[in-house]
Amino acid sequence: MDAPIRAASLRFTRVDPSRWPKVVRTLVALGFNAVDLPLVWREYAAADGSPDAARLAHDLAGLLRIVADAGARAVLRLGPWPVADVAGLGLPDAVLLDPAVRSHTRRRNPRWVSDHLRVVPLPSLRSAAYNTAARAWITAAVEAAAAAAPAPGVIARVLVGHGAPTLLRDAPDDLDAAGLDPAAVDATAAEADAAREFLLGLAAAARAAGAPAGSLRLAIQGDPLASVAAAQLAADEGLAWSALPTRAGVRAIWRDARLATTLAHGHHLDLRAGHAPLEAPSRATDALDVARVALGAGARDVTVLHGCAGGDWVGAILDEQGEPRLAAARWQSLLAWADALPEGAERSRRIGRDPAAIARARSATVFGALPLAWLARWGFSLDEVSAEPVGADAREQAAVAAGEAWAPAFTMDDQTDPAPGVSLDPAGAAMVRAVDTAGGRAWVLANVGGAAVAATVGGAAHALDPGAVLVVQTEEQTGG
Amino acid sequence: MADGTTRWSGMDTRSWARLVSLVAPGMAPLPPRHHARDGSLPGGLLLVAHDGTRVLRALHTLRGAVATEGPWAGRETLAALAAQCDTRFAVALRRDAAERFMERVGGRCTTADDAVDTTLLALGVLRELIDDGALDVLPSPLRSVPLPPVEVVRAAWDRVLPDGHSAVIALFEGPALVTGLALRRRGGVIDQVHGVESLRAWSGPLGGDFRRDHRVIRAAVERALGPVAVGLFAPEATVLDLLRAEAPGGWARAVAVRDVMVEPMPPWAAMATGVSALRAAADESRRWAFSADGWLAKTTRKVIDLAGTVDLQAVLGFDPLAVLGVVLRESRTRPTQPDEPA
Repeated sequence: MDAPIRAASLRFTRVDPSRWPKVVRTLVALGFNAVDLPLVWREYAAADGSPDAARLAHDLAGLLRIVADAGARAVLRLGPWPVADVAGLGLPDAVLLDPAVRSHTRRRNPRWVSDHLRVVPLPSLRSAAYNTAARAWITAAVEAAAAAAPAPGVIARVLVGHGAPTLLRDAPDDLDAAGLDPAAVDATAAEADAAREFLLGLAAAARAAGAPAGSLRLAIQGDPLASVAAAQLAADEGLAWSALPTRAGVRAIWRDARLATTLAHGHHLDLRAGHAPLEAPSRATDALDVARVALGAGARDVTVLHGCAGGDWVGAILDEQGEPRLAAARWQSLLAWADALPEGAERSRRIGRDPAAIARARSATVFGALPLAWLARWGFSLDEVSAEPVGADAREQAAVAAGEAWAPAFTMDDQTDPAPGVSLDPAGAAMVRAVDTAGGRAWVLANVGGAAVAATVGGAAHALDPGAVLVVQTEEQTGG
Repeated sequence: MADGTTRWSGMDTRSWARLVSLVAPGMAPLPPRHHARDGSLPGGLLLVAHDGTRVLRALHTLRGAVATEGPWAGRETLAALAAQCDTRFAVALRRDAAERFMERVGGRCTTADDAVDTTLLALGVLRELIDDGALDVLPSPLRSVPLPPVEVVRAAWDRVLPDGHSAVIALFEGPALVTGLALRRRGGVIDQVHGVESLRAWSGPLGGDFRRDHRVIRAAVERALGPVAVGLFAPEATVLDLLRAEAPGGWARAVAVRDVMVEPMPPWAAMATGVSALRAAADESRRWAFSADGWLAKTTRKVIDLAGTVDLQAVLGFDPLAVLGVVLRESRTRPTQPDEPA
């Protein structure tokens, strides 16, 4: 098994290049083993919107050399809309304002998304012009990175797709009607088809340009457990998505991160240190709590946005001069704790959903066109907002019936573990996962409630404080 | 206003959360375990979906699904559900509300719209949805506050912060500068916004008494950003109390006794706080002691003249501080912010 990726992002275009080596060294000293480099198309665009290959090559050569010299690896985040804190969705104006690129509502009005305090037109994932331009950008960026890599293996991950959580779309009734007859199509199916084809097109461009084998992850906007496209793509591709924010609560954060352990082709989860200035405020301790829950739930490959933002961000781990803020020491402790988490075969309940069931649930949302991504950020799952909830996962049930998967002895929904080894206070709200390690079985328990929970693991009693994550190693191999 | 070109700098999460939650206590960050949906905590936001006759779903941010069906009778139903959840903030959406909002905004926005245009347009559409019965909000400042035209907002904005000028807020807890903001308007937009880290770096070591430190901070901001049009320096707790105070005249008294320093104090700020009338009255009463020229008439005339040019309430049609106070008094108390790293 590859080493986990613990990356911190560096918004390098906002930081004086003379500080890049120091910032990378500081992040590595804090315990990060990779540096996430968001490449913003808008910042590397010629006047006609085409990628400026010379600048890309220059900057990537310097950055990848610095990362390699620090003993770290690089995560390249290519977008085209890579992170939330970019102007104009990170797209060149020549692309963003091109009428052929825009998506439309059912009544042929433009669809807008927020861009700081303004709105900008949302590109249509179905637009041929947008797909062509986006693939050209991905090709140019990957070719430049591949040529600039100082050694094999420096580029650990290449993330493609719209990585910023969008709050004004991604709802089945808010159909992107560009190029469609809205009355003749199923909105959910059309949306999923567009997202899947867009992402597969970007992935193909990246592979053709020389992205290292196994490095690609396709970025999913919104809750991947509520995405038909994510469920379909997971069969063949690795996925990347953003962990839910603090206000989604421990339960939703745990559930979201548990998906990471069951994806056959890999995952990459974005955590947060701070937030964009116009987002709801979050404290450093709360961001650390979210990260602890996500890592405890089993996420192995993560990026903390932002390690160093150089401005236009509230509360990055390093300040604008590259000096650690006070919370940096706590991130260092958390990373050390994460390194000690058990590694091995996941034996807990699988997370996965049938795309058809997701599609039915999405079509039956009671809030109409209110974006599911927005609702997810308040902790509302698809099941809660749909008249036809997905419920138990059909694929999981089939796998259990066929004896292919370990019986789902643990649930995510407050039920007591019937298997020997762990018992939980039935009245308490706790979640648990099991990992078969080389030395036996380890149990990871999270308390999702507001009161302490009693747990018995291997005969020993434990109390879980609210929000805490407890790891218990046992010598005896049980179950399986 | 701010846009995509605005440079944000020097902000840590602790001080920023304190500043935002002063005027929006519901936005105060809480740990993930707080959102455990155990049903024991007051507050939160209630979201109700209905089809005009039936409640389809009621979701509460701290309690999850609280209703899955029932009759819908308008605001009374929303108020009852909110009371059941022990919250004062609730939104009800008819099933077609979000799509109507997107269609109407989509049909009216243009790429040339700036932040003022966009904000007023969105608020206007929300008000239409309220009038149509597609949207209900508790409490509802949108119902009582008139929406001024774009030109009026721009004119007011020009008076509040003239182009090329900066504004600063510095709030203290004891001797420590705990949160603050400095911003500059240039070329018609806010081009720079700085947090407390920048204020500390520009000001250097402070004495610990905001009544003296305000001069140092103001001078530092003027060196870094240009002339300061308005500055507010005060203990954080004092501002928190004043924003929630129901009795009129609180700001005027606080400024008069230097519990709050407003330096410099432009005419609009004097009017907004009621200080100008107080000062004018004091000045005129001194003169009246030496002459029997009728101070009341002179003072009244002066205030009316001043109001004609700088009274934001008269310009906008509502008192922004009063509206904010109504909302804040409906809000839960801002949760205490435990000590934590920035």
